[in-house]
Amino acid sequence: MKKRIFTFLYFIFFAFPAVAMEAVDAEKFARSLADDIITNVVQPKLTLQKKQEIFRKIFMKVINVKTNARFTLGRYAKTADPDQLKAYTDALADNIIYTWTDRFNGYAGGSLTKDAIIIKSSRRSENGDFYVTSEINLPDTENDIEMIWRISEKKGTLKLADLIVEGVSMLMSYRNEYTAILQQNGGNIAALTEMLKKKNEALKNPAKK
Amino acid sequence: MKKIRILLILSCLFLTFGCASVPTDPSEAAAYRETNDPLEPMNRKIFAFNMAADKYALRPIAKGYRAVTTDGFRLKVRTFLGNLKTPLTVINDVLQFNLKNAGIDLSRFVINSTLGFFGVYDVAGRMGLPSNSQGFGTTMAVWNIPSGPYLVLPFLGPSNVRDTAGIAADVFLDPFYYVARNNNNQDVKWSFWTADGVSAIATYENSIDLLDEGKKSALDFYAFMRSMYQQHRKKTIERAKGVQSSDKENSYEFSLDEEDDADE
Repeated sequence: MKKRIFTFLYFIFFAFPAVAMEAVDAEKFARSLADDIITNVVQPKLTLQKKQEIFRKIFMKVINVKTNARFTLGRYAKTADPDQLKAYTDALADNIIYTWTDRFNGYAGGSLTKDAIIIKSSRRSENGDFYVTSEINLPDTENDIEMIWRISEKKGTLKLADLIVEGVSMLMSYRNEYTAILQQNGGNIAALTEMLKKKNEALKNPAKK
Repeated sequence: MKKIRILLILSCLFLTFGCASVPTDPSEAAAYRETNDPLEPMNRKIFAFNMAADKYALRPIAKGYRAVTTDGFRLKVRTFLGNLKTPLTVINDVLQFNLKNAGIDLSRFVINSTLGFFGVYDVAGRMGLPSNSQGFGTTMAVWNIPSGPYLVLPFLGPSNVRDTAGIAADVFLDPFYYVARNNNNQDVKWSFWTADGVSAIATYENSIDLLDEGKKSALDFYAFMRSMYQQHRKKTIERAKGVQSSDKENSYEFSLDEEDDADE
């Protein structure tokens, strides 16, 4: 009897929270992430460098950078040693942060407000991840842009795994591009990392227009 | 005619540059099939040509157009030109056996051509009839005709063999082509080709920012554009086929641990 009560309590306290994440939680996650970025990165009048710093904090908290970086290397991930992988992962994270901060900066003080992003629906895929569909509605454009947030659940916390804009997956785009480079340079991840670092320098301090 | 000439030039280039060789390593061969780009050496040359054309010809024209117009005005121009292509979309809707869309698009054409002041305003869009644009390339995809290898077209950019044939077919499927051809009034003929020319500038102007953003962060802009095009095209075709978003066919529902079983 005692054993059964224990099992019951165990179930309540431990097993239950592990299955508690639902599509609606993923929607909330996407909503709050979008609001966070718009309020703290897009809208305020700050220098690009300051925005990069703020976005880095937000971004590193919501993504699983190791898994994502590994994915973008495709079949070449297996051949990388841990140091190489670490250097590549850092360079990739920088690249994403600088690229996106630059894009957000382009919308500064303008049309990209919280209201411009509307969460439409969500579902759990067979691969276990949540897909939250949203629409971005900007003035002077014909159609709303469809943006899908792929959100993974790991040990009860949600992480942003991918963004799919009008059918284009960010993760898959990185992977297609980088594996094309690796195929040409004989799988040299260190060389790819160097290319990334060079690009990042230019993105970090863009030439004034 | 212009587009057919481009195709002829293209086939000459094809014979000059030839194909990439198929890799012997099984995992490399799998990657080779996935990118679907056996003509890569030729495509890269045309891509480089397009980049030069962008720098010296297309961009100055598009930037000039941008300099003398406002965002709102350019949207009206795109709406107007889009409206002129709606009959072509209706024909493709019918060929895709999508009578619902054919009805919507026909209504859009009638409403926007009248209430929308000759198509300058998207009144139908505000009435809940969203815009939709279909070409014969998509129609052939709906008929399950395979895409054939990836192609980069001079000036026109990323495509594939099927969609290139679609571009040529669309010229002859467009009712306005026959209106222009069978009309003895030179002004009518002239306006048909002018609309195409303006349309090219307007479309290019509208895509400059996207190109620039890609160029800024990409390490291999050619591979970046190829991936963007192929993924986006897949989505357009899924939409035309009416594939539900919960379908497993969705290109973006891949497993994140995929690299572990890539070369089995």
